Amino acid sequence: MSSPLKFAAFGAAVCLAAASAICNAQAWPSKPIRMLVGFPPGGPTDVVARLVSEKVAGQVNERFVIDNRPGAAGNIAAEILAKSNPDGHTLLYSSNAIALSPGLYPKLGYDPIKDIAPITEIGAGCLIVVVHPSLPTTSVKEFIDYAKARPGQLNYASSGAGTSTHLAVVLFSQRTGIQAQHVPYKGTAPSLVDMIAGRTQFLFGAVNTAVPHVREGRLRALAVTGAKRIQSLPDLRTLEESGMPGFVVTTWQGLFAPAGTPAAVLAKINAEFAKAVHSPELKPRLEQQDMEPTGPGVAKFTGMYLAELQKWTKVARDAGLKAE
Amino acid sequence: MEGLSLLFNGFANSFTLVNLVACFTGALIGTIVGTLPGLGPTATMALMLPFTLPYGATTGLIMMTGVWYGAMYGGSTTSILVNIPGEAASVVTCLDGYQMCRKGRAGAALALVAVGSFVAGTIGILGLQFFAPFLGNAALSFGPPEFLCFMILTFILLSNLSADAPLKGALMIAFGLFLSTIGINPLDSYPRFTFGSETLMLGIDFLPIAMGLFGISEILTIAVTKYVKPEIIKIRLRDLYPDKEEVRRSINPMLRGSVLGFFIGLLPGPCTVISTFVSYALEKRLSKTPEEFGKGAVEGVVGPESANNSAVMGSMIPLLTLGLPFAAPSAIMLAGLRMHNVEPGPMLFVNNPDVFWTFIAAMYLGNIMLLILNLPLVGVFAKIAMIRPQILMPIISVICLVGVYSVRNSLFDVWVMIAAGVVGFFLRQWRYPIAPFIIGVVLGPTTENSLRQTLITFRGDVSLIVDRPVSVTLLVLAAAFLAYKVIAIFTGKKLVLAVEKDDTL
Repeated sequence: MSSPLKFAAFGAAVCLAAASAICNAQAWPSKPIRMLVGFPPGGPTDVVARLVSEKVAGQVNERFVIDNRPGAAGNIAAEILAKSNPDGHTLLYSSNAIALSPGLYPKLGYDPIKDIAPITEIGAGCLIVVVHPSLPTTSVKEFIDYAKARPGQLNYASSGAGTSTHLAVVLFSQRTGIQAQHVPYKGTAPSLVDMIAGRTQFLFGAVNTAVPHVREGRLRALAVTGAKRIQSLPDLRTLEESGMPGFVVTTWQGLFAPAGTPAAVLAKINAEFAKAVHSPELKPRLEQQDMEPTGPGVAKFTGMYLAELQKWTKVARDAGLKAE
Repeated sequence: MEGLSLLFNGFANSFTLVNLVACFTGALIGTIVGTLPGLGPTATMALMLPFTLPYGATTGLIMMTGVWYGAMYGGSTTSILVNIPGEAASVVTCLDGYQMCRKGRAGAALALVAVGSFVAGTIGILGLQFFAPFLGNAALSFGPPEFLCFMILTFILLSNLSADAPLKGALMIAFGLFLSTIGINPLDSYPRFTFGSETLMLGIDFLPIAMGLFGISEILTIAVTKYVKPEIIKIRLRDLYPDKEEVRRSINPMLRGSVLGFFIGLLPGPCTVISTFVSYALEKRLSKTPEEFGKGAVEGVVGPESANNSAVMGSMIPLLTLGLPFAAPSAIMLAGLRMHNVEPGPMLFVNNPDVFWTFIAAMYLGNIMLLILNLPLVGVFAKIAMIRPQILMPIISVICLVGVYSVRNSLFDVWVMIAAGVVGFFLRQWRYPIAPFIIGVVLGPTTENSLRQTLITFRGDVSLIVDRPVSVTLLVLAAAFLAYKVIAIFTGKKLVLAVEKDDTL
């Protein structure tokens, strides 16, 4: 081929590629979208995934098919996503477990940085620090002193090893130097039962499940772990306000795509979901689940995801927690 | 009495068209889902959750409980007719229900199960209505040590199931326990026996094993048995419904199962499944003809099926009074209630009493609806059992394969089911009891988790258990049962009469 022809051919190819990328974005969605969820149906992640997907489905006039692939704290679903076609029609809806598990499972079937393209955060919540009323501590500082005086004697509940309820306490212990015994439970409900009964002494729990019991007086709340105070208990201080600057643990849920999905498609998906999250129908429902709808842009969320990944991997490694 | 007037209001509310339709739809869908092997109430409720949103909390709650409830009704149908458990809580019904079907008493079994479920449901709702707040607090006192002792008691009770071949039974339980450890333990995120495979990290689900061991192995056994064409017997109406003797024998198991199931439903975990096992073991122990169990004892069908229906109601108590969901379906209902801005817990009676009472009233109605729906269908279903195996078995196989895939969207589960079917086939040929295997798989995870949590909280000092009255009571009961067995061996009295050679459980 002669040089000008080659150049023209090359130029045409580039134009076509660009055009196909643009076409993709405009054409998204062109078929039903498969939404992978790494948790069983009915769980908190799954419920919100369905709510949000339904709203977006109405916006873009295309069906969303929820594909539950529970197992290994969401790793299985993430692995399936990483191996999927990056055309924007296979997405993953995950809780912050996706940032937590790489620290615990070094041999993942996918690379959490290279194989995943974050799209947006749907909502953010936080954990609430509760103690059993029998403890004479009414503030975070009193609690830290109380716990330091009794190394290894206090029990704390979690909704499972490797969940944010567990790792948050690990981080807290690393920062404050307390030593407490971890009692893992299978899920939130059993952990709350033993907390209320006093068999465990403290818990960093999910807000929406713990707040009703705080209101009943069955549990005493000391602080919330987020950057801001929560709506349901506006008088409750954050951990930062209680003398632990920089200690922020958020529980978020986000949307992900396989790496290699065209940026234009990612932007379009981001826009649709951000719109849905702030819509008047969905916003109150998310707030009911104690999640503040956010919907940041792709770049911001990617930065957030990478920061979370790094943070929790370090926590897990420092604590020596590693599932082989 | 204030309660009655509130209940009356509840009935008035539930007679609105919306609520009645929701109740009926939920019950119907639940029955269908329960009948289909594989698909269970949990996934269905999750799917229906968005649809209930526009209709308000009460309607949504009614519809979803209807689904769960209907699934307990429907699950027994395939267990009895073709030895395939429609869902986890119907596994035990396979043991005697299918044998009744083989004896031509399919219609009787189905009818008795329908009535038993109705009675159990009513008793459960009554319990819920009167004892809800009190029992809610009692449920809190059941922690890992109590659960551990309860599991020990259950294992000892259930050891009776294979009294005729105790070594084989023990082997089966051990194997079942082993299988239940495969996967990632949620307590410490440590994968066990996974050989690095992600699919094995999922763990081996109980339902594919049950469907394989019972259903697929039955299909394989029929496939290798020479087909003997049954003489065309005109089905008399008498055969479709239970005779006096069967009814007389069913009354006590029905009542016992209802009460037992209700209390077991209060506990966390797979309460409906556990209630069926405990009821079966109890009925076998209390029966004057225990050798009949495994060959079509009507008590072994009616007791467990009543238990799983009232367990649903029992499970609602921690949900409504404490806001704590102890079983997967109640977790979905909690999510649904939250989405409607109804917060279950003691405040429910204060803030939204109409929700609670309308729900109770609707459950009574739903119970009646299900009975009316199911009884006439008994005749239709019984005829299914008469279809030639050449046609029936392939259809059942396909339904099983699809059904088991639908649970976790996992092809691995399908392979597990097929493998379990082949294993079950050989177990039958070699006269190994299958039920203990299932017990090991089901009860394994709960027992192990309770044991570990107990040891962690006690810091390894098991003697601390004497501080806990409920645990001590359960342990004493367990010791009593065990002592009875040991003494019986020494005095030469056989607890279970010799079973004929060609029998397997």
